[in-house]
Amino acid sequence: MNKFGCILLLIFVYSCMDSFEELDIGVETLTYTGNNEMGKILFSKLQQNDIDDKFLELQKCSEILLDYTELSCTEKYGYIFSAPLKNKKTGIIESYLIFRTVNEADINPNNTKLDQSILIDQDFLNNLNGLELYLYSSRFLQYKNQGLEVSDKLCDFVNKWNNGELYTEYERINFAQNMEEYPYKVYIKFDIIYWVAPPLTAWALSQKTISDIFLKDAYETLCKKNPAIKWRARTDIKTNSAEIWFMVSDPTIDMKNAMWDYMNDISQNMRGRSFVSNVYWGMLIAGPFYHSTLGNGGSIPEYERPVIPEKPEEPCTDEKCPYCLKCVTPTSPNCLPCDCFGVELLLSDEEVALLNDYVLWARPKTPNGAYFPTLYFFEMAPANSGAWTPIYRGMEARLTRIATKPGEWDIRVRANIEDRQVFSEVLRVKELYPSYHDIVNNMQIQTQMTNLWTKTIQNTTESKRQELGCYIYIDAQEKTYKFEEFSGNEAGPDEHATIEVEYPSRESETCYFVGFFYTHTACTYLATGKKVGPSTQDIEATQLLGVVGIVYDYIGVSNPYGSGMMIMPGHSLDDPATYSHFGVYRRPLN
Amino acid sequence: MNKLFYCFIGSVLLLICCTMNTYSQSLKDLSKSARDSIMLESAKKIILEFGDERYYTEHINVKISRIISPEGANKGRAFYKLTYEYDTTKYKLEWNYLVEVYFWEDTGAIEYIAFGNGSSLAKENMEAIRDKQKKKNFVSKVPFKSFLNK
Repeated sequence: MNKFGCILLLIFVYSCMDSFEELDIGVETLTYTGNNEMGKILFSKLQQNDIDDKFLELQKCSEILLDYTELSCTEKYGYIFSAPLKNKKTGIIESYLIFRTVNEADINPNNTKLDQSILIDQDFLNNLNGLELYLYSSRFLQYKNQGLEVSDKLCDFVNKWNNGELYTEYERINFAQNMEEYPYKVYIKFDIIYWVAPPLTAWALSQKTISDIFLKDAYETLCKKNPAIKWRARTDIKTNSAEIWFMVSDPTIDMKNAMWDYMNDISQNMRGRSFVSNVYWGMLIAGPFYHSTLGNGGSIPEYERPVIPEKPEEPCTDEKCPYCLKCVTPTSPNCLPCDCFGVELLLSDEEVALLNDYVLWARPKTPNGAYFPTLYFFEMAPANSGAWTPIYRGMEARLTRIATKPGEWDIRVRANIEDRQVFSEVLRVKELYPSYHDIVNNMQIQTQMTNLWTKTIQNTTESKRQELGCYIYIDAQEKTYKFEEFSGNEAGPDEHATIEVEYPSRESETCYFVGFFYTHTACTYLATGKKVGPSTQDIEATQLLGVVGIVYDYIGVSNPYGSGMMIMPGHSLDDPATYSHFGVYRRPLN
Repeated sequence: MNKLFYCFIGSVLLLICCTMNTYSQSLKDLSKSARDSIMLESAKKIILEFGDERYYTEHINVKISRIISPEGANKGRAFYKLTYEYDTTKYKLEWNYLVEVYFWEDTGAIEYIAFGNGSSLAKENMEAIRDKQKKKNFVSKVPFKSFLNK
């Protein structure tokens, strides 16, 4: 019984030991016979059970490809081992693992110890953006380039980046949109090689670091200081290189000094990072290619400043003036224009009231003041319009013009002398509506006013009186004043005599309304007198019409308080009377 | 008889005094409120005496100003001008006032009045009208003519 019991116990213990070996998931089954040094080291670490549960779980559905193991360095996790994971069902690379290390892997990777593993898959990438996304997704592209079957989606971002479809924040500033526009280009290539622990090469500089060093410095050192320098840059994760083009729109910029500033800045940055050991670069400036190595003490190569060929002067073939031998119609800035002939315009007045005349006088300029038969064209145009219309064409140099077009006008004279056409300067003249004084000094108007006043007096009786008036026009075609008469109400002795004025309808393009005139009535047959002159209503009317107002009334006597004139009731019809002005002094130009 | 005679004389004197007080009281030494009150009362009477009643009833404000006569026989003499203003949205007269009534400061006499339709009356014109009215020669009051009636 005891023997049997012991046998049973041994069988149980043995079976339990088998079970413990089965729990050691996959590691027992993981084998590696390849030549990848980093693969061998990682395999040995995994054999030492220096692993975590996550890796064990992944082993169920994925196969770790130790042939592609790399030791590299990231800014975030320091030295890491990385290896792709192949989906056992599909055979496609859908993720990779990175194993962090706890001590200096660059000194001796064999002595390092693995820390926790991190799975880099689509979910991981989804939480990244920008340069970090580039960093982690670029490794998928690397696997693809190494011949592995990798999901396209995982390489999507890095492909776009490398194709120039995505830009860093620095690239948006001073970024050369079209490289072809720039005749002078400076091309620099940085090949960056990191010797971590020979013979193990590692991709040690993250994409973000490269951007910081090269792109930001390029912007800060060169482009920000000099807006004439635009740039484009690209970093290549595969070849550990950075390429920068400087596009120079101004060839006079001292690119050599500019490049010195830039390279000094780069050197300082590089020396501050222990993992950088060597940088070398080349430069192409507008043709010649220079190559140099900038380790510790590389030099900027000399370069030839691009020379802009000057355009050869074209010989002048213009017609030459027989008097001065200069160009008659110069076409080149180098030509000396002939100024033997010209014409000057003089004006007698700059402002002229309608129906008044003014003189335009053309004074020709000829070699030695000699006489040449000249044909003059006097032209006018609305101010600043350039729409010239002729007002005279002939041999007379002096033109007397009667103002008939209210407005501001440009006036010039064009002269044909010796088969040449010359123009005067443009002068400005204002043709104004007549003022109050222009109107009342006109004999035609004075006669009209006197006639209406006489008629007003003649029509005054004990039983009625009536105000009479007329609108005053200027007929530009007939060059004369025209009148349109109107009258007020026939007022009895107890009624108010008044007259209503409104904007007359006879105004047209050639007939201008310039003022109105009316009479006041007598108080000869009234019990009350009246104040003299235009009333509030009269003044308001003329302000509405915007023309000169004239009223004809008795002179009257001063009221007892000396504060105005009044007409006493019962005065003589023949008492002295006169006209007075109210409202605007002159109808304004539109 | 004597009593009746003295009563008559007394009444006449009283009437003269009242009239003098109403139309011809010096405004110089009066307080502003008393002076304005007297002028407004006198102006009202004279406006209604010679003009259509609307020249008084339609006023919405009265401006009182003291002026020194700038020229003429009374140059340098002070007078008050009462300007009765009207609602210009309701009426539109020939002038922008209903009536202007002028008072001499030293006598308080009204010697000139101008109505908004342009009619004006000097002292002698007023007396002439009063005479005609006494003689029952009918003289109508200054008409109220507005171009805008609401």
